[in-house]
Amino acid sequence: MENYLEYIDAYFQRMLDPEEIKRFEQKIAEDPDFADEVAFYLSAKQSLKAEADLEKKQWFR
Amino acid sequence: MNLFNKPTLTTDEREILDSITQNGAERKKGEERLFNRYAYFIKEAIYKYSLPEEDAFDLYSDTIISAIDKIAAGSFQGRSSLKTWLYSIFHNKYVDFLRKKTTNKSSIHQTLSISDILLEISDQSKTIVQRLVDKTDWEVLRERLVQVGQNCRQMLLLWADGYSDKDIASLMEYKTPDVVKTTRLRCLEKLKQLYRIT
Repeated sequence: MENYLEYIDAYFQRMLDPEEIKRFEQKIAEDPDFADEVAFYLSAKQSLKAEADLEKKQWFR
Repeated sequence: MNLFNKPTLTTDEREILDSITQNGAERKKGEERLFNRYAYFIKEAIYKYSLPEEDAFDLYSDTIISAIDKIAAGSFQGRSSLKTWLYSIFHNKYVDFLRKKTTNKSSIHQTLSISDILLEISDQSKTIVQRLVDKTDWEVLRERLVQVGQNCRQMLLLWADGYSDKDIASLMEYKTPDVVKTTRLRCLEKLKQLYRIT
């Protein structure tokens, strides 16, 4: 499987131009491995945010 | 420069809001000030909603965390006082808490709706990603986070909490934001490999 994380990161950091954004979104529909990478990126960030919030909560105590 | 120059806000509130939007070490100070400023909500919840102290603390912490995210993202416009705005979040959290309690829904149950993240994407692609996200084993992902190493973990947590590569470089003493970006993506790749081998 190709490593798409840098490309996915650029999309979510809003670093891609409109044409690249269009290609990115088309790729999700056409390439299951790529869609899987996008899903991992989002799940990982969500999980990390939950962990960061938990640490913040402990810090507030 | 004060970004929150609204008559609805007190000087103290403006200072707190400015600190939180500055990121870096200043943001941490602002977060702590915000938490302490309205911590009396906890006591109010204990008496008004008859909640145990632990639940009241959780509700208030969740309120502050939610507020910090909104302030950092620029969602708070200062149309009402900070206290009024925070109290509305606090009340909504209380309503959610009651709903979860009556439906017996576990508080650690994690979900992610991508509809707010991928705004311009076609419905077809959204559905594809959402289905894959729904298959995530959140517990395993959380366990793997411990295995990526302390440095990676700290960097990834800051990233997920909204810190830019520039802020992370300053907080973790990296030479440049580009070095942070390369390291951060390497850490994410490591997490992915650990998660996928299960």
